Amino acid sequence: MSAGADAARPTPRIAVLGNPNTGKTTLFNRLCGVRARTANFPGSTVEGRIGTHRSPAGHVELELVDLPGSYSLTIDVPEARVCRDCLQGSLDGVEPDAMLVVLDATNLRRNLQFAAQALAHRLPAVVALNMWDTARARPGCVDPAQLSRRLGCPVVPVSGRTGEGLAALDVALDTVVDLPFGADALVARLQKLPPADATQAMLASWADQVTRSAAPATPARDADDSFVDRVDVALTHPFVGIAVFAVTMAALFSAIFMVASVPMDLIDLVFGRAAEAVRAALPEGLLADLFADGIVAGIGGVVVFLPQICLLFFLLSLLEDSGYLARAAFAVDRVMRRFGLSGPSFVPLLSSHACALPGIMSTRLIRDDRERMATILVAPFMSCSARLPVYVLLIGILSVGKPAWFAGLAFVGCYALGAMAGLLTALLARRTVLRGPARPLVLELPPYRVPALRNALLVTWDRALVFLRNAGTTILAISVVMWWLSAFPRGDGPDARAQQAGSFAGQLGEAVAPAFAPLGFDSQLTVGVLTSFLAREVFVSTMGVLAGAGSDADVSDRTVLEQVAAMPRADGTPVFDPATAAAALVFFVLAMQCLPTLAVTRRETGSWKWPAIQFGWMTLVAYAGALVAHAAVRAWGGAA
Amino acid sequence: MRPDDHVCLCFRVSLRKLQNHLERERPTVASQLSECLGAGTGCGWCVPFLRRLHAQHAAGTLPALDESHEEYARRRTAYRTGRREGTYDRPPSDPMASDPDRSPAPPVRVPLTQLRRGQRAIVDCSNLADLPEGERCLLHAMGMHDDCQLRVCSPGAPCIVQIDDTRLGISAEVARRIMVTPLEDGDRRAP
Repeated sequence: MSAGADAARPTPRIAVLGNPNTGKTTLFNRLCGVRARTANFPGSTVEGRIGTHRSPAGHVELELVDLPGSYSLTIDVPEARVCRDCLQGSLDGVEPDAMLVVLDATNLRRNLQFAAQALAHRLPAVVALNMWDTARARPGCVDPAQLSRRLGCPVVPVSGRTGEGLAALDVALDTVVDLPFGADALVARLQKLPPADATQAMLASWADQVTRSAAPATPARDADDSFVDRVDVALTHPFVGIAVFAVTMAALFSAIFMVASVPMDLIDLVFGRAAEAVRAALPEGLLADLFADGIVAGIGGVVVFLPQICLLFFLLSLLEDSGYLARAAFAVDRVMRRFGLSGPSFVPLLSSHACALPGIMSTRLIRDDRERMATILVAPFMSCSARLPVYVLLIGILSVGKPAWFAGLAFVGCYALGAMAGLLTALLARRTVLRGPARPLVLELPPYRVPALRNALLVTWDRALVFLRNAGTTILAISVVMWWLSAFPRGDGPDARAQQAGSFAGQLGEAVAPAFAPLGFDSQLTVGVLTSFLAREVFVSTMGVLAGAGSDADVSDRTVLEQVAAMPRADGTPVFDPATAAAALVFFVLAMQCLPTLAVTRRETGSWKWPAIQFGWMTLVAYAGALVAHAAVRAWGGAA
Repeated sequence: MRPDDHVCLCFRVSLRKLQNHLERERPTVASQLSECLGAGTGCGWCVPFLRRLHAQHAAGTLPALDESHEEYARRRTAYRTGRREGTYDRPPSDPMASDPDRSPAPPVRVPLTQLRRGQRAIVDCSNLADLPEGERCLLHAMGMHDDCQLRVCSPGAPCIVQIDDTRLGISAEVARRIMVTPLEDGDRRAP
């Protein structure tokens, strides 16, 4: 083949497909490494990945499409539809040149049923017999040559985990894309397969025959493994299972909190320094402000989420690979079911207590679309770590002169209030806008395995890129807009307080203040609420500025708390009487005060409708909750 | 037994409800009585009685049970204790009948939820018709189709079963619908 012809020909595309839990993605990661990107397929929430693979042995660069794992190609579920569309070329208009069917060699009977459906398509095929390292060690292991004769296509034993057999797979893929595949080749292959309209039972009996002929001494088909049975019984037990899950998750999140805080502080520091440097390098004025306060601070605001996101996905990937996550989802299923959610919703909701962004991004584990939407909708109700500084400030004001246990109880109350509001909202949504039958849970529980570190790292890398590319750009744009709102029109003095009040944001606060008056908020507090719309923790620094403490206010600084607590209203009475502080606290527990979350919701749901609903509903609930809290504290205070 | 007495004590299904269900739904096989509020899908004690009621209805007589309710409940307690301690393997074909001339009963179909840990059984999916189409097909594709053999890893509802080398976690509402014919321990299908 001449070099010119090589260049003219587009990169051959190979569809990679197989059952879930066959190590398909591990194999894909092995082949493509970091040369892969996540692709959202049009009209579907299911995602796949596209990567390029240049085999060291061959001359061809291949484009691999990692399709979602599916149990069957003929059923009407999103995963199967995407696989079918891809094989027929109707997914994105590019018909694949070949397919790579990944089978789990340790579970051939079921995997062969899928292979039969896949091989019935008119495409040259290679079958990868994955998990070969485990299968080979078992007695009565299948003979790849014999299996190849029975399937009418090359069969290559590989292991995505150890990398064994990859060279042979390269050769097979290189060969198969070069070979012509005519109608006669398809007919020859179809003769070896069960008929196209075969029932699942017929497929099963065909698969059984093939397995027996290819592995003459097959061991007992469902060998007793009472140790694994006992572990499974314990891990899915209504009490023991949930307790184990709670401990695991507590460990996971404390690890994330502890480990992520170091790089997060570092990022804060670096971007703070960078902002100073930018300010110093540019002439004093608008441009310096825009770069320092708008752009650099905006980028910092995006990147600061990265450590938590990376750690969460890294650890979750390890847990998922180990086989434990499926058991945990099964164990909490019955609790979540009461709220119209199911087991797989639990992890996203729990991770939202660290930050709603990774929580919402991890809802992809949920198979049912409506359930996934409901989980995304309620995730921001969970008290995330960004609310913590606000809680510290407001509870600090509230608990002046109260016994020591009061503050602790208030913290617990905030977390419980958020979680309850979220779960009840989920229940409401599942009865109204997201009504639909609860998808009965039937879940494959994959075998326990030692997780693959390399694979977890690649998953983390991929998630981080998705976050930066999609959410990051939106967050940055919003940050610049918010900066503009609080920086214009320009005040003339260096007085931060006057600037804050005179800016568009301040004027907006003034205008909106009557709406918040029933909650006991004055215009200063309203400005605080409005500016914290960008991100909740901004509330603390805004209130600090308004109280005259300077813009570098930090909640750990005792004087700030005192100054904010003593802030006077226009009429001289304190801003934060107990009723107002309680109302503000409830408002911050329940309100959607986080633009990045809205941006991620938009990206994950594919429309502005859901972020709009999310924002509208949460603000409504927060307002109502704050109103009730204000009235309750006032009545209680009056009685006491 | 009086009409208001419970036949299925696990799910509190009275004789009257079962009579009405038989009259209204005219089930073709006795196991469809489980659709009457889940009758027979708990401990399994009442399954032979449900069978008897169904046979009576099929023969055109009013379904009734002669046993006193007190005796019935007492025997059930003994049955459940025995099952817990391992003296009973499966629901007795008719625990109160003492007719020695009865021919051996045909293989008993019971809900999946009644099997013990480690027990094997052959699956019958005919009761799954009211599941959504997609879910039913998914279940089939995961390996749970008619005549497949399963092994119980974690009994009850929800439960975990193993089919070939695949372990499936099955939620309560699906598990109650899956009917199985238990296999004797030595009666495993040849690999």
